[in-house]
Amino acid sequence: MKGIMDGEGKKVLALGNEAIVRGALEAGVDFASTYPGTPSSEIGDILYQIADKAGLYFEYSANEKVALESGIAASISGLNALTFMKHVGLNVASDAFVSLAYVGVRGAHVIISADDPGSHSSQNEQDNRWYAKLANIPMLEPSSPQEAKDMIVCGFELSHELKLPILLRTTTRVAHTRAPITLGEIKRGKGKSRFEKEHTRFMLVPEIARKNHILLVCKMESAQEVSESSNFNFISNKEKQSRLGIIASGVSYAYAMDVLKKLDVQAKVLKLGMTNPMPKKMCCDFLKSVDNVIVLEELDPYLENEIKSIAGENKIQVHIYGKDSGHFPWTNEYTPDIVELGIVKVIKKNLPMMQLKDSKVELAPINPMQLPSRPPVLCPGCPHRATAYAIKKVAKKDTIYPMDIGCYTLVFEHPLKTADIVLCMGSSVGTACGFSKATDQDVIAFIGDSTFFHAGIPGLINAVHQGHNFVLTILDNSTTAMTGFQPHPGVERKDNDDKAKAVDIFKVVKGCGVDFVSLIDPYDLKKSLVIFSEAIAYNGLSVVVSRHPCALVETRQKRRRGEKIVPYYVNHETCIKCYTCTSEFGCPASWKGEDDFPRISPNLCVGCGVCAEVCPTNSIKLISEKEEGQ
Amino acid sequence: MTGECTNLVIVGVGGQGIILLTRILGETALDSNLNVMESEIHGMAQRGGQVMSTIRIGDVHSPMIGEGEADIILGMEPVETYRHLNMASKNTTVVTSTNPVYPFTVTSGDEEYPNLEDLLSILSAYPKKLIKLDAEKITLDSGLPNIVSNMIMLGAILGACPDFPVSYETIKETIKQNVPIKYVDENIKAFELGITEAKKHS
Repeated sequence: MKGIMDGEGKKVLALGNEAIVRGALEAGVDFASTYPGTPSSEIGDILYQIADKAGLYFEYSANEKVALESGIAASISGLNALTFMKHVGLNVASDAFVSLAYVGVRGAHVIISADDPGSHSSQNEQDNRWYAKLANIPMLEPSSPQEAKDMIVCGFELSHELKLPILLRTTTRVAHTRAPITLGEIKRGKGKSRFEKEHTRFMLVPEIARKNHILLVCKMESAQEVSESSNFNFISNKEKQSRLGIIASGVSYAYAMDVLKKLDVQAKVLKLGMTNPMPKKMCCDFLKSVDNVIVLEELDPYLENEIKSIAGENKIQVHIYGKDSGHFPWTNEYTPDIVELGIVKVIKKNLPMMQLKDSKVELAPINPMQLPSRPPVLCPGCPHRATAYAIKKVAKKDTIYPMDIGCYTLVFEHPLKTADIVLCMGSSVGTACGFSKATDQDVIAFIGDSTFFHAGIPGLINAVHQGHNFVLTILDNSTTAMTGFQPHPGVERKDNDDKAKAVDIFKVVKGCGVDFVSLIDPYDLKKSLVIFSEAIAYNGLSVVVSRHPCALVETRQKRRRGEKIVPYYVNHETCIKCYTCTSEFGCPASWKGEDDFPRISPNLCVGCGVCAEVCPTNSIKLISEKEEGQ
Repeated sequence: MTGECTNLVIVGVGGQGIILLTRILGETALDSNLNVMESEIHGMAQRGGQVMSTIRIGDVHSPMIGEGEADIILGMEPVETYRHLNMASKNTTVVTSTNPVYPFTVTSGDEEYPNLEDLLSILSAYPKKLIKLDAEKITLDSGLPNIVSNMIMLGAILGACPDFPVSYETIKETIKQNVPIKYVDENIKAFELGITEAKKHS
């Protein structure tokens, strides 16, 4: 975040997400809320640090729906609200999102959906541009950090002007691109406001909803006019006499510009930054000025369908190439190579007169060599590994393991493999409910602390009420580790004026009416084995809260306090090379050495000691014991 | 370094300081009044996964680099260098560390790490120039902590590519601004050692 708080006029290097924060500050944001999720997390990480200083309110809400609803309250009270989340987070918030435009805003409200084409860190690669259509909410799509910042600033103005929320749709390649941005002036927000009641607008009972829907359609007509004249919709290479056109949005525009230059292809490019409502007239004029048009966009043919409908409506004779024509894929993110390949294919087949610069580079001859894969793994000392190991030790072989979203999802990897299905936040509990009725197999579900607060509690209440029979393991490491250690409702904080009180998971579970609730420290393997055996044997719903701080956080805190971290070692005199530690437990700090003895890296080991409990011959000892013995 | 832009790819694993190098190069380019675009993928990096960043200095719109279009590949780990050779052409300079970081799939005995000498000898058949550095040994011999290996590798780029678009002095200044004051000296020393070592091997 270095530099993004600097003064007006300065040019700094910023990540797309940092540019978004700066844009929000320049727009005078008052109220920001989120639930962390890649690729949007850095926005919250920075706001969390600067909120007090910048004079705005920021919260990590329990989930995206709560984050959005809080933002709605702020904006209809006259404040500038920013709500941001990853793409699947908008599914959670969608109930509020889809009705939101019916009530509109009073201050301004920008909602960011950070999409993840290529599923770099997500369970799907859904295209959230459809949400803008579904909910009748104007949408902006940036293609670079500078544009992301400009669109946030303009998005707040537009929102206020149209009395509608604005959806800003970024993607991983914009959010995680670092590029120069020029800083504008930071505007201090209003802080607090006053809510003026207006029942005929905000109370969405059927009669009012019907009336508001009509008003919404009118508002979107105004938005249509805005889109026609928006600076974010423009034509590059206008002067080119070419009859080939390209229509692109998001990062695909950047790829198109680089590829056209590389191939020395003459083409006009219609860059669309405001893509709901589409600038229909502008598109129509553009289509009339060319004979062939290539539509470039990642994932679904959102623009392509619109362009085809505009061409059809206006009876324009133009060849349209995109996903339907088979030139570009529907799945995964685009790359410069994919864009180049598609453009070359179109030109060679359909525009044989067009010159193409030979762009081929002589690739290095690939000599195939078997390379080991490098999947992400649970860290050394991770309490989740200990929990899953204990469960696997005592569970029946055909036990079903409903899994949830978080670091612990990684236990699906070898050697633990205690994960059978993961869909979305909270789905472990819901699917466990179903499995317990649909099968006679044992069911042991996993959910993290942050995920439990986010979407696990309704499922738990359902299980209590319906009398379902399964074990729910709540992995409580006191942080939202996967997305970068953000706090959650279970963590007490004293880092700002509003002290945040910790909500005790154990008490919540008890309060939901669960009779069998146990608390364990997964580093105490012996006790964990006993408790999980009891939980499995229990006839009915049982919940085990497995509580130990994230090993990364704990180790960092120990180092900061100056505490020494004492690693373990394998005593080769007593080791029988059974490899329980390396092959069954599978901590990445241990491995099978060249002499076939297991070894522990003193640099990686964080001294959790669980491998010592796992060892059947008691051969894993603290290094300090070895030194004492000498 | 095709005249108009320089395409650099840095690959390795979590914890090797790749994001810091990326930022330093980007800020240096900006301070030298050059356009720069960078991309990072680091979602799972902290959990032992791969990290890759791309840096493009010059007149470009996107931060992404196509197949065979890297002018320089900086590999912080030999297998990861090899894995990304599709980014290289005959015109590419490859700078690689020779220090393996074994993935969990190898330490658990499920997969094998290739023979390092074989891997390095295949590597040398590819690019215009290959610089292999034992960064671990260099730090050890010069009494530097292993953590500054990334600065050795950064220096090696400069040593290997005399026409790199940003100067040694500006990078040094950016390093100073990006590392805590008490670690500046060792980082600068490592950076300079990297330049010397790469020149030796050029």
